[in-house]
Amino acid sequence: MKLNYLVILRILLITAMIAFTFNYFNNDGINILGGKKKFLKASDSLINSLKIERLQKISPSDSSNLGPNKENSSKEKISDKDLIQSIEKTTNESQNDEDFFESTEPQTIELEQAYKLFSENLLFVDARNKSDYDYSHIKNAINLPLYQFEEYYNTLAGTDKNQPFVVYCNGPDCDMSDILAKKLFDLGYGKIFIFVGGWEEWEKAKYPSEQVH
Amino acid sequence: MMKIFTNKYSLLILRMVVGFVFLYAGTKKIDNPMLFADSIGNYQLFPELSINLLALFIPWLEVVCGLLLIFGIFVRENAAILSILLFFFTILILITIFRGLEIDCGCFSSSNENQIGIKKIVENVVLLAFSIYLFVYNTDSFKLDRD
Repeated sequence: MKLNYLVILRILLITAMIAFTFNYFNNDGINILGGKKKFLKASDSLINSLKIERLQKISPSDSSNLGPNKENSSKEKISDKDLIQSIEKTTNESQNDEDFFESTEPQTIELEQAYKLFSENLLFVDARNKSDYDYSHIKNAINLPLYQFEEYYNTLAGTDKNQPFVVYCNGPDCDMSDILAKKLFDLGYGKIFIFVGGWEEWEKAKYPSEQVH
Repeated sequence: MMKIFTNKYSLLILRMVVGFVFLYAGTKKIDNPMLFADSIGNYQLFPELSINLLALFIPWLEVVCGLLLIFGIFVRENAAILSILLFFFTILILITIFRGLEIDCGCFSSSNENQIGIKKIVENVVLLAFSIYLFVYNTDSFKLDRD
């Protein structure tokens, strides 16, 4: 059977050229010589600003609930004013937050930062498979296995895309958190943190965990 | 009996099937190179340096060959390339099953149906058979190029 080897060679060469060129211009491209994509580290001030934003968000509803529910017109006016003021405050704070979050990709966090966010009841997402998750995971974390993404994606269904959350997997050697974070980021979840230390570091520090029975 | 197999219409259908499968598989991988590189790494068979190169090259090879097949350009050569590719994939899956690794195939990007297993092997072998067939029974009809 005659086979044109030159054609094969040309196909391979042209494919290689296309591949490298595409990758060079691609934002999601990978490093030719290996090595994982490095994400930026989140600063402590960013972590702390999230704290402030959450406190601010709580106060408007609190102040409107504090006043007694009488039909006293003057009291109602005051509470309206307070309401408006606190809403303005929240918007200003969140504008600052926008400036902080100008980064165009997920950011990495370290153990202590992760713990801070955990104490703020931020959502934690476990990228590992179900059996690892069931065995043990960070307390209150939800499971979104990277390799069963379509199946588990609806666990994020109720989540506001502006809400920050943390993604983790086994540890520094595990890529799944990075890949999952990128995937979710591309889907519109703008505020994602990657806890690089992962489950290993969390467990070592004996921070709160839970199992699924 | 042979008439069915050498029928130019069945060849056309086969070309389309194989072409579109690879086109689809390839584009899904190009969409997320990091994920594919991770899948390759899961096999624990390749040296670090080569993983990213493979993750870069293979998806595009699939796309290019798939497209060329669909348009009937250099069918024999493309069928040869894809046959070799499929042959290596099958060997890869066999080795992995032997070693008892339970990993995601990485054939179509992340998806639950792609666990390494007998089903995957069968799928691969079937595709391989199709490709070899296209290689062997190359005809001049429905092609865009001249021989």
